[in-house]
Amino acid sequence: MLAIPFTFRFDHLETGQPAARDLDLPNINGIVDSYDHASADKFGYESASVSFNSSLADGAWMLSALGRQFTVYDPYGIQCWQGIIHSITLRASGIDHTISLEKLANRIRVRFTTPFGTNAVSSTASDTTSQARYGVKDLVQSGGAKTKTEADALATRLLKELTIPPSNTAVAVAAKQERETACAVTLNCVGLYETLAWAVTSNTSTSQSETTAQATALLSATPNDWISAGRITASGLNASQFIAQDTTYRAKLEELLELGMSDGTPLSWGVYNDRQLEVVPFAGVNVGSAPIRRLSTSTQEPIIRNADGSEVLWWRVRPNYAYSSDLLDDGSAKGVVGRVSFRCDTNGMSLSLEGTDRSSADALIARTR
Amino acid sequence: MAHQHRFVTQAGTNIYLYSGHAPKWNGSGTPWTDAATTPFEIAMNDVTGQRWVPQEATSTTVFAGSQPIPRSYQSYPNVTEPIPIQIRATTHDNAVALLRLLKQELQAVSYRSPMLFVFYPDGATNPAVTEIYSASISVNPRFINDENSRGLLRCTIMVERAPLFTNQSDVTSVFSSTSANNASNHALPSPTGDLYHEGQPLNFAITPSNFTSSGMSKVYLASCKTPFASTSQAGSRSTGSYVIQVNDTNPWVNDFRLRMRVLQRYSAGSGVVQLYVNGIAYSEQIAVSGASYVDFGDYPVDVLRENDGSVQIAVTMHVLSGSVTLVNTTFVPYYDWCTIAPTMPNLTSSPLIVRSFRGTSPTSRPRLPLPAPQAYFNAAGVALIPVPIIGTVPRTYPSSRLFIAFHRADGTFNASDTATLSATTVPLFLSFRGGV
Repeated sequence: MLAIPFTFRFDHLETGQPAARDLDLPNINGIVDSYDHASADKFGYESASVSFNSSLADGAWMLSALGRQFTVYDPYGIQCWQGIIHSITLRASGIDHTISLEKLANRIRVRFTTPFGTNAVSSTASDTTSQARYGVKDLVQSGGAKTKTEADALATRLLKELTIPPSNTAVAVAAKQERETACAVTLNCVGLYETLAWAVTSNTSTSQSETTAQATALLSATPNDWISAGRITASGLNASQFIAQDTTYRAKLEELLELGMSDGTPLSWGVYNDRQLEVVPFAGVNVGSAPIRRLSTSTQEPIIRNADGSEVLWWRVRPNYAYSSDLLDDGSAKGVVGRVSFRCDTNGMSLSLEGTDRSSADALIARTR
Repeated sequence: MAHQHRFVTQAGTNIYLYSGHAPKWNGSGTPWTDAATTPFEIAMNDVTGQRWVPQEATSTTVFAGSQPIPRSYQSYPNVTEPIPIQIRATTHDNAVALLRLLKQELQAVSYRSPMLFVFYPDGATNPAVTEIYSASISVNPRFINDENSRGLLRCTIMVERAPLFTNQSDVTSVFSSTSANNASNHALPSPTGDLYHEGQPLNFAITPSNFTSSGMSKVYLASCKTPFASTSQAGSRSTGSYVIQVNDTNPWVNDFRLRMRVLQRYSAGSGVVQLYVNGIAYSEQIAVSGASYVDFGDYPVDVLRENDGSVQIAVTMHVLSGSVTLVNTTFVPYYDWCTIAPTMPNLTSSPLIVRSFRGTSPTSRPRLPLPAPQAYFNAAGVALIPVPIIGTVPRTYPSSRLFIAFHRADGTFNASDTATLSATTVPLFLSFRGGV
């Protein structure tokens, strides 16, 4: 059992289902042995994993959790991570069985070159049942020189291969094997921001409009309309609406937000609680006036505080804040955190803060207990 | 006669442990099921080995913190302790047979099939009960050979047991079909066990009263000090910022266990609201629609703790879009908070059951805290429908109160709704129970 009693909740994301229906999976609250999550600049909630032991029957039952929304709440009922279950590993009796969404594709087209040398695209091979279950996940395959019939056939064949999440089973044969009734389960999750890379789009319009408004429009245009606009700072900067064919929603969104604001201020963004996209100024532009959090190491345990002195619980720490430490002389902000990693297990918890990839800052704190 | 400790097997068989010189077993009958005739005794003879030393659960502190923000998350891990036993019989073979019985029962113990351990010292008014999750026996080599036909074996049972003791079937009623107004608070009894300041678990049954036609959804439960509400900035609020100020009774100045929860009640409108404190957005942007009672999460009170006397709280309400009609803002100084969000709300007249300790299970199981709290609807003729719980089910603390608020099945909040509230608690002990 975890040292800190987090609550874990599964929900459905697919269309046509109730917004929340976690009654049909084993209750893992109270049996989790380890939990860790990471948040990153330009992503939001990035990854999480949960490990626990269960019976073989419950472990097999957990496989149906693939693709479910996974939400973590702290002991005070505050959401501290949210994403989807991207892969599940069961380990029992020397056998590792992993099922993953990595190679899933349920809407497939093949781009090919006709015998006449023109570029063309096949018909779309689509599995609506898989899309309803996991969301739309595009694959645009290069087919080379083909006829339309051949390209269509390839798309259909690929769909049959990839529309069901592939699984991988590895058997480790040891000299001595003991039959186990328990099963070790690991749920690996990714943040919902990742799902913006699942579907592709295009736009031939070259009209100009504000970048953050375009980003908001992209969220509602994607077939997986799971993310909504939250705290969005208007960029005041216009950019072309053109989107090259087969561009993912995520790629276009990042292209827009990377332009920053009209005054040159870079932007930081991510999908956080309640599946909301936040777009705010990057804290590292003017570190002295950035939202600052102080790392107090003079106390028994490192404590992170907001500028007003209020405590920030370790599992609620997010990137894009300027951090300072009591160890430094003037207490001014020394760096901006770009990635946060938190871990909790049966013995305690640890927190790691890393600098952004926009600078060469090394880890500001890495403490393991 | 003197009280005796005992093991209780899954089948309900008692294996008593004599305190003192146990009678010898002659090979017939099952005298171990009676306290007066059991051949098993607790080893309290220094000459033959270490005496039994009852162990108390020691807390494990996960995060210590320090002044002025002493945060402490602690838990009680299972206790592993040796229980030295002596076995008395008329012959060595009979003693071995008794040893075999112990092995058969104890080695079958597991988390799925625990054994009870009833701790009942002589002179105590009440026994304390806990669960054993694993046990193994090792024999003292001094007694392998039967010397002078004493028929005596000494062994040590290494047990892993639950850290806490409780009673077996008695619960203390906290509320018995009490009528609870929406967003009301009710006095809780002070704990009676060893976890007086750490909180004593509660079980609840909550049934909608005057709105049975639409069922109940999203229940807030908290153990707290008296909440206080402010009508500052009440009224229709469109896009903009509004400062809500209130003088509070600052109960958290001396009680560092308290946190502060902020809720806002709306009567109409729709929009997006976010709350700021000291220029920092501490809540998410929350979509508000119609008559609702919205939980905005924790209010940072750490800085307020350093101030003496009356303190003014200031929250800035940002209406980011739309227009909402604010009724009031409630501040709840809380110990524990949970949100229960039924996913199938269209059940009528069905009590919502919330359990943090074992409830109506067979009387042979002690009412120990559950590994994780449970909540479910218990509609007549319908299979139990589990309901997710977020946060910590309230525990009772000295001079604490229970805060309860609920929404209807359609998600609306109606201040005139009432529910029938029943609750029970059970004291927990680190070892001795005494007269409690």
